[in-house]
Amino acid sequence: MSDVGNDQAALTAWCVSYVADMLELAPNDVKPNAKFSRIGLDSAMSVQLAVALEERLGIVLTPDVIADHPTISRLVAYLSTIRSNPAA
Amino acid sequence: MQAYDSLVDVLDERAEQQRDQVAFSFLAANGRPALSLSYEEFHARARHIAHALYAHGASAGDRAILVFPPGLDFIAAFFGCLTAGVIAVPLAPPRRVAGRDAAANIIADCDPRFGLTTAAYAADLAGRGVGSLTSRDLAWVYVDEELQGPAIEQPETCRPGRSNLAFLQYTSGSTSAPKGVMVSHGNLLENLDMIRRALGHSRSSKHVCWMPLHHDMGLILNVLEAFYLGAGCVLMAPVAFLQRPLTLLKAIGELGAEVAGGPNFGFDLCVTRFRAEEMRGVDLSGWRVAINGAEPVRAQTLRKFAATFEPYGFKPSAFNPCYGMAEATLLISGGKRGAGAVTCAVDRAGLQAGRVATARPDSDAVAIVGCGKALEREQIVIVDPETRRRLAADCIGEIWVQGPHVAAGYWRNAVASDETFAGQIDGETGAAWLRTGDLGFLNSDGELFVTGRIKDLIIVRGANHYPQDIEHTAQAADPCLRAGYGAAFAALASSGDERVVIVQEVERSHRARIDVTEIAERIREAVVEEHGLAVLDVVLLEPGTIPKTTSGKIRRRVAKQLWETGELARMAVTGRRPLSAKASSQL
Repeated sequence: MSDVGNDQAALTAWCVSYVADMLELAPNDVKPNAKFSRIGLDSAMSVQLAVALEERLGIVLTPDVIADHPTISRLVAYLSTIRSNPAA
Repeated sequence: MQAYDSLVDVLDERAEQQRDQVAFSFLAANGRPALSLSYEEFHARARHIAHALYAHGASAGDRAILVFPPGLDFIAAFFGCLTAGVIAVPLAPPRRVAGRDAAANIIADCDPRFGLTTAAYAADLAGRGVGSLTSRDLAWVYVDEELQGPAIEQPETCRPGRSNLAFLQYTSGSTSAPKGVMVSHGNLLENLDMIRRALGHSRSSKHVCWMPLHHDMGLILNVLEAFYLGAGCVLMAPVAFLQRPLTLLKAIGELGAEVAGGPNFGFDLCVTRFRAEEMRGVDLSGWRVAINGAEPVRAQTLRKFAATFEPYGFKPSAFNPCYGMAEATLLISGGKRGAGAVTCAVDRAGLQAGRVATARPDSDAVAIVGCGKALEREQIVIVDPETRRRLAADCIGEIWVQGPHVAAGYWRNAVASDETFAGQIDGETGAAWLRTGDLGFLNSDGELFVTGRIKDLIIVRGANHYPQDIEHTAQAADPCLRAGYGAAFAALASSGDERVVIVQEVERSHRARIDVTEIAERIREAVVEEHGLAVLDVVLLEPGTIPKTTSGKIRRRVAKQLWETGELARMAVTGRRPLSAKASSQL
């Protein structure tokens, strides 16, 4: 469990840094529980984030993944379910 | 030009001459064809849809809004309208999270009788509660359900002529006051033939298009042009391109397409998403015309793209930067096939001051990219927008255009039409000129360089946004913000793409106790939800500090200069990191 927890924390930090980078915000201003729309992410950036996650994690995501899981925390939680359960 | 009276003549001729050849294909996200239609099948679909419109009582000149997901149904519906003499009004599909009903004002302006979509998409829209797009005031025709019924037998007397309107293109005007360009069959046929000659197209010029079809560059420069030529057009969904841009390049190679392109950011996207393993075996040597238009063309983009894809056979001579707008149907200038882009190094300070000076080796030079030359049967002149006098070569002024592709005006809007379509050069008489509102110059070879805009239009990823719409959204995000005391403008992000910046005053009564971070977040959220735009920076100002003219108009350019030089007295730092602190992107 602690490995999964570490993984989630690391992936959350990576997402925060990636989103902050795209929006040119300080990482402190990107809260994992804030909605992506609240942070100001547009649809092209959502696609960019999904593609970056695909490459980082070696998985395939649908274009709607960001809309379906609209905060970093929820997205990371979803990603950990599909990674710990590849058959699902 | 062939003796066509309308696009309906083109439709009939294609079906007769090229019955079994593929007119359109649509690629699934994996790059494989999901649907292909021969010219005969396409012709039959258009006629079924026209029949359905007649069955619903359509008469010539009625308007129909077209709301479709990416795919071939939109094109069939478009030609169905033309066949029935109904004026097509393409609308952008609403975003998944639509804050506001963007279509409502367009619908109020064009007063449509019909709405065309598919049954599945109608259910999707209804589920999302997109009010105006499910309105019961319109007669809805689900084009996919009409393909079983009878096809129209069209009496010759009903055929549209060159002076009849084919469609209204709403890319102009703010959301609150949209302007529909009235594009006639004659305008379309003229511009399609001008494009053919300028870009050297033939029946073997197969096109691949990823741009949305409610965007005139996707519809006219790709879909209608390929159809006019009889060359075939392969389409992919815009989101499929944004997600996997190399799919486009693979399709160009595999299908032997000669023509493909899009706004400048699409070329950047191919470079940032380049993966050698995905490009293995792809041959781009048959790509003859790489169209780049709808937003400013960057020399650096072209350099990087060429360096990345020359090993796969891409020829930089295929670059074809072009310039156009809906008011001129589409294309105003374009390069010659195979000539590549023309770049010119000019002095940066001179350019900002509105003069063109060739850069000296020791000066701060900026490389600007030409957008080609005037088309046949068209005139482009540069005019001082204040004195309306003609300007000489290498002088920056407003770009004015004359030719048979220039539309008659805006739908039911004499005032706006007069401002834009009735330009008269000082001391000259004769036909009226189209005032583009864009600034630029012609060099001594007649190459057109676009250097800026008179109007404060914001262009992001090829889509036009009016600053007043964005300012209105921002001001409505919180009651502490002062209505009418804000400025929105475009600025370059450090990634090189254009983004919107919001500068906004707060109300005097609130200024002591506002949460600057919270307000900035509300503005960001409102702007991305209503306009789909990520905000680069939000600056909140003390009351009475935004630059205005003496008559009270917002001075957006001054606000931008002050923002660039860091001279705005922002109430607190609202988030943006200093540029130097930006970490390198992972992509």
